Amino acid sequence: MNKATTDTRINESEERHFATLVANYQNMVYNTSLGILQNEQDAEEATQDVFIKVHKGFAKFGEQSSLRTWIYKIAINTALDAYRKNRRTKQKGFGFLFGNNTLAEEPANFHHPGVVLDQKENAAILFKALNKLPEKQKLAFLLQKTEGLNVQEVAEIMETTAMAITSLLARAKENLRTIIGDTYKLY
Amino acid sequence: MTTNMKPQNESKIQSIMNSLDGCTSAEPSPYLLTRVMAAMANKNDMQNGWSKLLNVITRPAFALGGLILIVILNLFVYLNYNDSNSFNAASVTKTITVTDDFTANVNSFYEIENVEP
Repeated sequence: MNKATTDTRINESEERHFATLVANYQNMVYNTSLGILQNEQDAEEATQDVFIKVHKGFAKFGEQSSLRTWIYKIAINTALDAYRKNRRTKQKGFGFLFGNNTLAEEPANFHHPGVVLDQKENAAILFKALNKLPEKQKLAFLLQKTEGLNVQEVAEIMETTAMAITSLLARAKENLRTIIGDTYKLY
Repeated sequence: MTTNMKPQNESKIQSIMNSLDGCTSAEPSPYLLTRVMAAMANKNDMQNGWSKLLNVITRPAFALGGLILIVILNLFVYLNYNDSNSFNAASVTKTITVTDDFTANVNSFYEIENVEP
């Protein structure tokens, strides 16, 4: 792809390069978005937006990080923006007329298509609990579990140190145990 | 907290925590590239001509600004209309004086033809 191009209109050769890039990274982007948004349609839309941003921003890509890390960052930011927007929309509604404007609608169980069949129910519980974690903890946990990244790679994507990620993951796991225990009265 | 937990509950939590182990990658729709290209083409069209103007004027900030302007204009007209309707003796006298001073004194044909010596 021509790096000088900022216009979203592309010629035939660029189109081929862009198609290769999409083919190489679409699963990675879609999976990341799916973990954060927990909705297949929203994840598809976020994936589309990510590739439009990648194409538009390719001229600005400075190669300080690898292309993969750069695309991961765009995917995470796009999915998190969409997630926050969805939550705000759900919270607003017409609840204020009945005095329950602070309660967000409880999302339906999310069944990740990549989870093995006998773990589907457990994974749905885990995804629900993940939504109650602080954003950074949720993100670190998802990148490690669903993307299979190691601590160093997660640290690079989240622009922090490996030590900080280790501590973030430990807190995420501890919080998840508490949330699951409290929700399902296991304590 | 974990110390008070029954062993079967502990294993249940552990099983939930490990439920994403061995999770395979989910795949997007096979038409993703086509949709991305279509979305980019659509964005280009949107950035041309009238669409650009439409994009600007449909922004919430623009609409809100317009609404505030209309409200201010309405208030201004309403307040002025009320002022001009209120009875003010001084202004009436002034108007009469001005009318007297500047009225064109057009004589009728009768007066022109029968001028008194």
